[in-house]
Amino acid sequence: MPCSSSTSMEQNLLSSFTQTLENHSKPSLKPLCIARSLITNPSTTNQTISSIIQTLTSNPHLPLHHLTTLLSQISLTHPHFSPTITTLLHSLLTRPAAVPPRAATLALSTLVSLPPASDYSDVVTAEGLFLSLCFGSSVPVRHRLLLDAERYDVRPSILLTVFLGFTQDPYPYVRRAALDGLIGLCNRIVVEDRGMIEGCYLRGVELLADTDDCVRCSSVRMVSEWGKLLVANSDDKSKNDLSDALYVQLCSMVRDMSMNVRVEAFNALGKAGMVSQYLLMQTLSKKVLDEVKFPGQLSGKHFRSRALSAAGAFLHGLEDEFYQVRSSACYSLRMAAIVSADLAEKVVGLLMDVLNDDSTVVRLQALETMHHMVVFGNLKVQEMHMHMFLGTLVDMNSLVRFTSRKVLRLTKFDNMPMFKLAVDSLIHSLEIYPHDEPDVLSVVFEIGRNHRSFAASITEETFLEMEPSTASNWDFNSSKTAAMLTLAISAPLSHEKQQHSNLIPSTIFSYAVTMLGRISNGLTEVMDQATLLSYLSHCSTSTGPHPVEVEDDLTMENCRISVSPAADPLQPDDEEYKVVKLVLSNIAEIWQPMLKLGCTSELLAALRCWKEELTTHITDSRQSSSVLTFTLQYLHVVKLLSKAWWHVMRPSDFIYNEAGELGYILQKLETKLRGLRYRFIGLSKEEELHIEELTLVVSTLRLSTYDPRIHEPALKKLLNYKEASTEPSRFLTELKNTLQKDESDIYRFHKPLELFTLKQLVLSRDLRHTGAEVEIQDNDWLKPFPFVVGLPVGIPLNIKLHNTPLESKLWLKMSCSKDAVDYVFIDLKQFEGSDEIREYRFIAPFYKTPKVNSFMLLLCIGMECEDVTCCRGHGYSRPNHELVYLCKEKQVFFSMVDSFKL
Amino acid sequence: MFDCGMHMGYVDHRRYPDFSRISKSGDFDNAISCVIITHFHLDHIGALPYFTEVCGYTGPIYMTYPTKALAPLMLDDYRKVMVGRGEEQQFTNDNILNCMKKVDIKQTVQVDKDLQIRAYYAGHVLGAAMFYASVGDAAMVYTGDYNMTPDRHLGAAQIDRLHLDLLITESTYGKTIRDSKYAREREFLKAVHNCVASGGKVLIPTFALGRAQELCILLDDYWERMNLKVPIYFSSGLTIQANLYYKVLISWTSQKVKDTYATRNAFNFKSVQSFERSLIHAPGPCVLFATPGMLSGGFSLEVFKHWAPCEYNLITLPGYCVAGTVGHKLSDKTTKVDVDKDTQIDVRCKIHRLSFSPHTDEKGIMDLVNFLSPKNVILVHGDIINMDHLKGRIRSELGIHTCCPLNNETVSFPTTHFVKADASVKFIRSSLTPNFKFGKDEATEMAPVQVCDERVTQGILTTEKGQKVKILHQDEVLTMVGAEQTEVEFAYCFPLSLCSLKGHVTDDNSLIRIVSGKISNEVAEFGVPDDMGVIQVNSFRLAVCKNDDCPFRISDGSTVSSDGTFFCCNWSIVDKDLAWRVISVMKNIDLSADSVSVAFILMLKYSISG
Repeated sequence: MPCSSSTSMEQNLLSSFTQTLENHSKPSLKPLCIARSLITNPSTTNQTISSIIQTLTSNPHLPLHHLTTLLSQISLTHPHFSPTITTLLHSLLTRPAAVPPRAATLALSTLVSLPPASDYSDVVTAEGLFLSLCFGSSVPVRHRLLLDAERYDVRPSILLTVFLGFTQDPYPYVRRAALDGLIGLCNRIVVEDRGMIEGCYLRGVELLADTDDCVRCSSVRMVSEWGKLLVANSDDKSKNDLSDALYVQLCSMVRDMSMNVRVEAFNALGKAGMVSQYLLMQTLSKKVLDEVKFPGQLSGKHFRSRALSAAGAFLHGLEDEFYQVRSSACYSLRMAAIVSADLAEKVVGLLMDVLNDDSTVVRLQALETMHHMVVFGNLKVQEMHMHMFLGTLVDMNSLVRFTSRKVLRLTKFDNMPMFKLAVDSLIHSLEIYPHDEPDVLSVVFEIGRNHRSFAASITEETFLEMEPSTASNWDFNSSKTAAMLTLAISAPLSHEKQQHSNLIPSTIFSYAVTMLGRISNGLTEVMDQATLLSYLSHCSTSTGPHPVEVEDDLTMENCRISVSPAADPLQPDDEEYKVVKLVLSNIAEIWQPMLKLGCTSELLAALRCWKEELTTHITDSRQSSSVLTFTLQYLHVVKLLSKAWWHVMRPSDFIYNEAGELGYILQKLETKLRGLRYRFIGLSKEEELHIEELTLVVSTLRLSTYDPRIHEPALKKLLNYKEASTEPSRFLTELKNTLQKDESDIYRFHKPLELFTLKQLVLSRDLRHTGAEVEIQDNDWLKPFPFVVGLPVGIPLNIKLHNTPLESKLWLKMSCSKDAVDYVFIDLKQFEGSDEIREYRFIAPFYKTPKVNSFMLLLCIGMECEDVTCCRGHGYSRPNHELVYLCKEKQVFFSMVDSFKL
Repeated sequence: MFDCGMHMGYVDHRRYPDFSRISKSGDFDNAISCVIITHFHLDHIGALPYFTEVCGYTGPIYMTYPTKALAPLMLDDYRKVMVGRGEEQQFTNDNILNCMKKVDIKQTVQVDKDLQIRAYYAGHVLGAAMFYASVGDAAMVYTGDYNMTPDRHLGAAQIDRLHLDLLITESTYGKTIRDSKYAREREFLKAVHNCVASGGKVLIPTFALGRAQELCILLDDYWERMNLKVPIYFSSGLTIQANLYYKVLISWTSQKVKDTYATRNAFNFKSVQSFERSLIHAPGPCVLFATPGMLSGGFSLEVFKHWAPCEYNLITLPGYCVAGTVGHKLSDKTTKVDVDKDTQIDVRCKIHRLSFSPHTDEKGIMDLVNFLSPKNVILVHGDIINMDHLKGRIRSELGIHTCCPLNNETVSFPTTHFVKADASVKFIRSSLTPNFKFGKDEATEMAPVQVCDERVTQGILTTEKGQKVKILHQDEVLTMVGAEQTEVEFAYCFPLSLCSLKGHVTDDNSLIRIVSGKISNEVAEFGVPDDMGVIQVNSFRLAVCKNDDCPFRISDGSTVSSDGTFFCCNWSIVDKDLAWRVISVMKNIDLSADSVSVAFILMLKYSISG
C-alpha cells in the first residue's frame, strides 16, 4: 500500500511531467524521463498511469518512437493496461506510412506480445506490416525483424521466401539473420518443393565464400542443415552423391581463416550423415589418395577435385591453433571412426597423438572419442600407441585420468607385453595418485576379467615374489599388492566362458582376504563386500569351480555411450533430473509388458543400462545428488522385484526347487525398500504410498511361495496394513478380498499380483539422503586396539551424519559374531552442526569382549524405522524397531593386551 | 621494395641484390617509396645495412616491432662473423640501428599519397608478417615466409579475405606435403622421455631463436603433465636473452601462449634452469639446450664431446646441417667422428633427428591461394622444379594465372581500376529498398529456385562526352534520351462455334461467364470473372469481338459458321504461355471447333506510352 508521502511524490512527478511536456514546443527528453520513472515504479497507481497514457496520446508533437517506447514499457510493467495499449497501437499502425519504421517495429513487436484484441484483428495484420517494414529502407529495422521473425505470425511459406531473398542483402548482418532464419525454418516446417530446397542450399553454398566471417559461420550451419534436407528429399540414386557433395562443401571450410567458421565446420562434419569411405579416408590424409584404391567410386577429374577439397580436413583440425577447433575436430572424428576398421585404425593413430595436446579439453575429448570407438568395438591399440595412451593414466588432470581408465576398461590387448605394460602403468599411476585407488582397482579387475590368461600369467610371476617364505621385502600393504591381488582374483571371473579353475593358486585368495576392505571398495559396482568375502574364502579353501555369481555383469553389449558430464556444463542438475524423470517413466512403461511377455532378461538388461547411464551422472561418488541416489536404489528394487516376480509367476514346477534363492531375493528387497522409505527425507505422500504398495507386493510374493517359514511375518505385515491411500489400486482391493477369504491355496495370491501395475513414480526434487560416515583412527589389522578379556573396551569414533533430523533415533551396532551384538544409542543432541551435517567424536564402549587372543568387530550405524511394528523386546539397550543402516560396515581390530605386548 | 635479403651461399658481391636494377643513377630515394621487411632472417634483411649505408638509401623502412627488436641482434651477430673471417667491415652497428619504422599487425599505414600497407600475422618466426600493399585500386599481398600450421609458440598465418590483383608467395616446400606435426612431437617426446627415464642425458643443440623456444615449450608442458622432475638446462646467455624478448612480445605468439599469459607466461619455463659448466659431469639425467644448432663449434660441441661416448645419452639433430659441421657428419650414422684434428670421438649415444620446419608446405600454399583467390600469383623463394610443379597445380586446380619469374625477369599484370560515377537520386533511392526476384529455370521441373537482386540490374551506366560517368535508374533513361517506350503486344481474334451453349446464352456477359468458368477449370491462374464482359489475367485480356473488320481476325471464311462468335484477345510477351494455354482450352470447349484449322496470326500493335 503506498503511503501518503509516496503518493504526493507521485502527484508531483505527474504534474511536472504534464507541465514540461506542454511547455516544451520542441521535443525534449526530460518529461519522458519522468514518465519512465513513474512507469517503472511498480507502486505507481493505476490512476497515474492512465493519466500518463492520456497525456501522451493527446500530445501531437511527441515523436512516435518515444511514444511507442513508453507504451510498450507500460504494457510490461502494468499488464492490466494491455487492452488500452493494444487499441492505441492498433490505431497507430492503421496509418503505417506516417509512422517512422523504428517506431512501427517497436509497436508491432509490442502488439504481438500482448493478448490479441478480437475486434481489431482485421485492421492490422502483423504479417503485412512485417513485410512492408522488412522491405523498407531502414537496415536496423530489417535486421531486427528478421532476427525474431518467428514472433510475427508470418506464414512459413512467405517467411521462407523472405529469408531466401534477404540472403542477397548487401548488409552482412542482414544476410546472417536471414541464414539463421532459414536454419530455424528448416527444422520447423516441412518443405516439399525440391526446387526450393535446392535453391536454398545452393544459396548457402554461395555464401560460404562470403567476405564476412559471421555470414560464413551461419552459412556453414545452414548448408549443413539444408544439405541434409536435400539429401533426404532426393531419390536413392543421387542420395550418395549429394551427401558426398555436401561433405566436401563442409570440408572446404575447415581451412577458413576465422576460428568460429572452423569450429562450425567441424561441428557440421560431426553431424554429417552417410559419406563415402574414400572421402572419409581422404579427410585423414593430406596427400591425395590413390584413385585405384577405391574402384567404382568416381573417376578422373571429379574424383580428384573432391579428394582435393577433403584432403586432410581432420588433420588440419587436430593441429589447429585454437583448442576449440581441435576439440570440435576430435568430437567429429567419432563419425568417421566407426565406419570401418581401416578408418578406425587411422583415427586411433591420430587420436593417440592428440593425447599429447597441451589443452586438457582437447585431451579429454580425444579420450571420449576413443571411448566411443571402444564401445563400438573399433578401438585397436597398437604397440606404438602404448607410450602415449598409458601416459594419460598419470596425467595431472583427474578427469583425464578417469576418462583414460574408462577407455582402458574396455580395451582389448592382443599380446602379453602390452597387457603387462597397461597393468604396470595402472600400478604406477596408483603410486602417484593414491586417492584414485577404488577406480583403478575396478579397472584392474575389469581388464583382468577381459584377459584371463594374461592376468593369470602375470599373477604367476608376481606370486613368486610375494611368497613370504622367501626373504623378499614385498610390501604387503602397498597399492601395488592391492592391484596385483585384484588382478589375480579377477581371472577366475572371466568373461570368457570356459573356466580354468586352477589358474590362480588358492593362497592368493587368502592374501586377498587381508585386503578385503580396499579391494571391495574398488569393486562396489560389481559386488558387495559380503559377496566378495564369500567368494574369496571359497576360493582359498577349494580348488573347484567358483559358483559365485557376479551381480552386475558388465559386458560390452550393455555399455551405452555415456553422456559426458563435461560436455554440458550448463545446469548439470537439470540434466540429471531430466534423465531421472525419463528413466522413471520408462520403467513404468516397459515393466508390465516385458514381464507379461516373459522377457525378464531383456528387462534386466534395460535396467542395467539405465543404471549405467545414471551412474555417469555421478560426478563425485560421495556427494551425488539424493535424487540420483534414490533413483539408483529404486532401479535396484525394480530389478530385484522383477527377478522375484519371475520366480513366483513362472510355470509352477520349478518353484519348489529354488525357494531358497527367492527367499534371499525377497529379503534383500525388503531391506532395500526400507532403505528407500526411511533413508530419504522429503518424500511426498504419493512417493510413500508407492513404496508402501511395493512392500505389500513383496509380502504377497512371499505368501505365494512354498516355504511356510516366511509366511507368518508377511501375513502379519499384510494384516497390519492400515489403509492410507484414498483410492486403493486394483491390486490392493483384490488383496483385501483375498485375505478375507480364508483359504490355504498359495495360488490365491496370484490374482491380486496379476492386477498389480507398476505406476510411474514422480520424484520431487528436494529429496535428502540420510547417510553416515564412521571413522576409526589408527586402526587396521596391523595396528589393533588392545583389550582385556571380559572387560569393556572403548573405541574412539569420529561420526559424521548427513541429513538427520533431531528426532531420528540412531544406534551404533557392534557385532562380533552372530549372537554377540551390542547396541549403543547415539544422542543427536551431543552432535555439533545442523540437520544437514553433524559431526561428533566419542568413545563407544563394547562390553562383550570374547575370550580370544584377537577379534574383529563390525561397526555400523542404523536408524530406527518408526512405523514398523516392534519386533524385538523393549528396553533401553537395544532399538525398539527395525533398523535401516546408514553406512557400510566398518571393521575394527582388537588384540589382547598380552599378545599385543609380545 | 619487399625485403632486402642476402644470398648465404656467396661471400663476394653476389651475395647482395643487384640494386642497380632499381635505379641506374643510384637515386634510390626517388625510385622507391619505402622498403618493407617481413622478418629478421638474413635472407630477408641481410642486405639492408648495405643498401642504406653503402648505397645510400635514406627513405623509410617498415618492419614489425619484434623484427625491429631482433633484427639488430641478428645483423650484429652476422657482422661479427664477417669481421671474424677477416673480411672488410661494410657497415657498423650504428648503421644498423638507423632508419627503421615499425608497424603493428593489421595496422594500416599510408606511406604516401597512393601507397597503403598493412601487415598480417605470418607465423614462421617471431614478428614475421605478410604485407598487403595497395596503390590506388590495385592491391597485392607479399607473404614473405609463412606457416599455415601453428607451432607450440607461434600461431598460424592469418589474413582477411581480400580482393587482390596479385599474390606473391614463398614456395620453399612447393612439392612436399607434411603429415601431422603430432607424429613428430610424439617421436621427439618419446625419445627424450625414454632417455631420461633410463638415466641418460639429452643434448639438444639449437639456434637461440625459434626452435629452442618451441622445443622447450613442448618439453616443459610434457614435464608438467607427466610430473617429471628431471632438470632442463639452457646453456648460453643468448637463449636466455631471446627468451626475454619472447616474454615481452607475447602478443605475437600463439593463441595458447596468449590465453595462459594472464596466469603464467609460457616462456617462464617451470623446469628450466641455467647451466653451469660443472654440471657436465654431474650424475643423473638431465636435458640441455645448447647453441649452436649444427654442432659447428662452441658450447654444444664441447658438451657433445663429453656426452657422446655414453650409450644412455641422446643427441637430437636439426633437420638440416651444413656440410662440414659435426652435425652433418653424424647424419651419416658414423660411429667415429673427428671433432678436430687431434680428437676423435667414439659416438655411442642415441641420435634423434628433428624435422620441425617453420615453413608452410604445398597444401598450405594451395590453401592460402584458394582462400585469397587473387587474379595472379607469383611464386618465389623456392627451387625451380618445385615452383613449376606448384604452378601447374594452381593453374589447373584453381584456374589462377601463375608465374615464377627468374632473377632479373620482368613480369607485368593488368590491375583493377575503379571508375567513379555519379548516381541519380532515383537510383540511390531504389537501391536503398530491397528488391529481389526469384527465378526458375523452366526447362526442367526440378530446377532449383534462384534468387537475384534486381537493384543492380535497374541501373544503367551512361557516359556523355566530356562529362562524368553517371548511373541512372532504368525509368529515367527514356526522359534523358528523349525517346519513347515501345511495347510489343500480341493479339488474336478467333471464332468459336457455341451450338452447344445455345439457349443458355442471353448476352455477352453471361457468355463470358460461362467461358470463364470453363477456363478456370483448366487453367489455375483464372479466378472469378468480373462483369464487364472481359476476362483479364495479368496482361491477358479476352472479350467478345463485335467488329467484323477486326484486324486480328483470321479470315479463311469457309469453315466459319454463321452463328460462331468471335473472341478477341491480346497479351504482352510475358504472358505468352498463359495465353496459348487459354486459347487451346477455349478451342476445346466445343468439339465442333476442332475442325477450325488453327492459323494464328500474330499482330504487332504499337502502343505509345506517355
